[in-house]
Amino acid sequence: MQVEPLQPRRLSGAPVGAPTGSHVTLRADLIALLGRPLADLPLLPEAAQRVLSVTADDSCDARSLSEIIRRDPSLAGRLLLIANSPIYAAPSPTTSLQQAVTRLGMRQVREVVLMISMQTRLFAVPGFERELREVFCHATATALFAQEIARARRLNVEDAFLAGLFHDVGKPVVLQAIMDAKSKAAHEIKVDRTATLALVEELHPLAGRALAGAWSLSPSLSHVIEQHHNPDTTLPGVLMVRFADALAHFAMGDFDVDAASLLAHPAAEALNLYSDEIGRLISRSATIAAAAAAL
Amino acid sequence: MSSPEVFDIAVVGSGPAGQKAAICGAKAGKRVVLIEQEREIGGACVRRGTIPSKTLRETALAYSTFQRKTGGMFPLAAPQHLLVEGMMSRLGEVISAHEKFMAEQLGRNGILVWHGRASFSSPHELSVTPLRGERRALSAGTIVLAPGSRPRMPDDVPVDHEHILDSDSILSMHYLPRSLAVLGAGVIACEYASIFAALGVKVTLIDKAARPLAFLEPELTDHFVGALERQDGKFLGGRTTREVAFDGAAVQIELDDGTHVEAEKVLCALGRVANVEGLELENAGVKLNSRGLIIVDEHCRTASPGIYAVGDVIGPPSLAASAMEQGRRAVSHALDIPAGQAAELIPTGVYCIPEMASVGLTEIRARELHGSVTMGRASFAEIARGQIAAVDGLLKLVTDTSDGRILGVHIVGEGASELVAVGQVAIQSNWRVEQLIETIFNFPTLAEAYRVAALDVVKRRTT
Repeated sequence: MQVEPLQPRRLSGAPVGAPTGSHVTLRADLIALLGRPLADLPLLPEAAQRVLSVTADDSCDARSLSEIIRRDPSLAGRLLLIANSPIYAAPSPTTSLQQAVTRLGMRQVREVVLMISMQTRLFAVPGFERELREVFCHATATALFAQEIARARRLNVEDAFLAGLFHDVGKPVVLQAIMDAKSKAAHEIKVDRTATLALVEELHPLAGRALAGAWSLSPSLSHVIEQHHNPDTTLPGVLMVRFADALAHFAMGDFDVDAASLLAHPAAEALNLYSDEIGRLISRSATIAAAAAAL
Repeated sequence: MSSPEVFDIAVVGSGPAGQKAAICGAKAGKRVVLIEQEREIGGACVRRGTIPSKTLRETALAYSTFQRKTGGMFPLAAPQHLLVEGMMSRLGEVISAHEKFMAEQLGRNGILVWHGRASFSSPHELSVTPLRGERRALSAGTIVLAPGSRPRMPDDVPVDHEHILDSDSILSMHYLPRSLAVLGAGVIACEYASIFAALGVKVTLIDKAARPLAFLEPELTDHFVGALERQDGKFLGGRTTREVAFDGAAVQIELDDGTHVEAEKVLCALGRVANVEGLELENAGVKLNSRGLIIVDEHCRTASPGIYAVGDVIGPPSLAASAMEQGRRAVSHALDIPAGQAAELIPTGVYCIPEMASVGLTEIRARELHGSVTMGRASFAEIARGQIAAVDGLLKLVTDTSDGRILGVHIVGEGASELVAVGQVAIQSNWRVEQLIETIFNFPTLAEAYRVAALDVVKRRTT
């Protein structure tokens, strides 16, 4: 049955048009939807938006930043948890919000707030909590590995973190779009769980690009999000995320990735990483996996 | 590992020194292999050193001089957040053109390039570990080591390549910081300090030496410090750092005299170390000095027969021009080809804003060697071209009072590194100062400064 393409408003609950009855048509509709400017993509929480705005201001100080975070108890609690996590290991426990802000630094606070926001707002599709939790942990581990690779190759460390963190940001967007389509369609859409996750896997770079545009992320970051599954890319930023992605899978116990496959990874080769350098990255696996799990 | 492939000459490192060594060998009809651990040829010079920093410098120079040179006719307002990569947008083209030229040159001369890390298995055998796959072995009667150097990372400066950067990672910054502290006052430190100051960054240059670039004429470095101060920067000389730490918001620097400096970013430019790890020099009998540099004689021969070392790995002057000459001379010596008289006269160019260049003897050294010396100076403000182009600068001649021979030329100001070539030829040709006076230079050019400075010498000699 031929259906009209999904309309952008559907993501936030607008009425659904013609029914869709197959995986094929749903896929086509999603592609059409994600290829257009999306008017109703998930927004960042208010606290996160304020943190982003404040940290972009040259005159921002730790006190005013901690004041904003304090108004969101959930955000404040998570930030303290992260400041005490193994990846930011400090000689003494971090007990105050201002201490956490000072210890992590403005930029890292910005990154952590983005991370938490993504988790609370985006990564919450009923019925897929476990999968999205894994996606979030994987994104965090990828971000931390990307930083390590950036240091080794003298690439921008801050950008590496964000690129790793956001590379799979399209996954919850696709999932939510599918759920919206299924729940609001006049007729049942027969797409099982496996097929749903396959669609998420296939379409998430496209959805990520759409979200990056809606959030006004940098063009280079948007490019990494869109291209991180492209094996032909030669851009260092994309290569870095591709290899960090593999390292994160390894660190999180994905059985498809072993040390031998990391040593032979094409992105690592393109980044000119020798086996001893890859070995050093692999040796960070336990610490990074623990940090990602703790967030 | 397979049996060794046999070459006449093996060169480790494809920077300026290695390239010239390889080409010299190939032009003599020898079978040459060049081993490079990075994917691209050219060494640090191309991707992390000379070429990227000079590309950024050109933008900074154009930006900082635009208003002055155009008399303020065209208002120029910099955006709030200037992208560093945007200011090096031409870099890709520059590097591509450079790499294409180098690759064609190597190919034209039949030089093989092996991608991997080299280590000695015996004095004339190298094992090359590629990124992936089996090691390869080679043997060569002559081995030239040109592995270059990397930034030194002092134990007490926690370089994280994010807040505290080194000269390899400084250009990975996306946005210009509001403030930058530079540790060190050598060539790299001063070049970056002046580039970022010209772009509006508040720069603090910190070093244990009393003045920056101590090997240059004080008059030149005074000029440099003055220019830095006019751009709201400062030089804190004669001080050492007690502690450098990122506190979450900025980098805090405590100096031994109690001075406190806070900066958004820090560039640690406290020297470089030779890339000798992994070469397994002990298997070849190559010796290092106490600073970790390979010990060589005047022909760049190491302690092991048939093994030469050139470029940064043997220490100062660590300039691309001298490294290339070392590469050529080393292979010429190995092949018993006359290399000509060793070039004692190597010009120094420091690409700060303002640019500085020097050739021959400084005033102090000339006094030590020649006794009585006479100096002559020409300010660019006295030269028509200097007035037209609104460039500030100084040319200083050092001459032997007894016979008027030109012993040294020292220049600060735009175009100094080009302008110094006239002085270099004059010194090499044993010119006397009168010959500069008799020379007709184009008008208006900054080269006229030579004539003005020469007249100043004559005037001082006769008064």
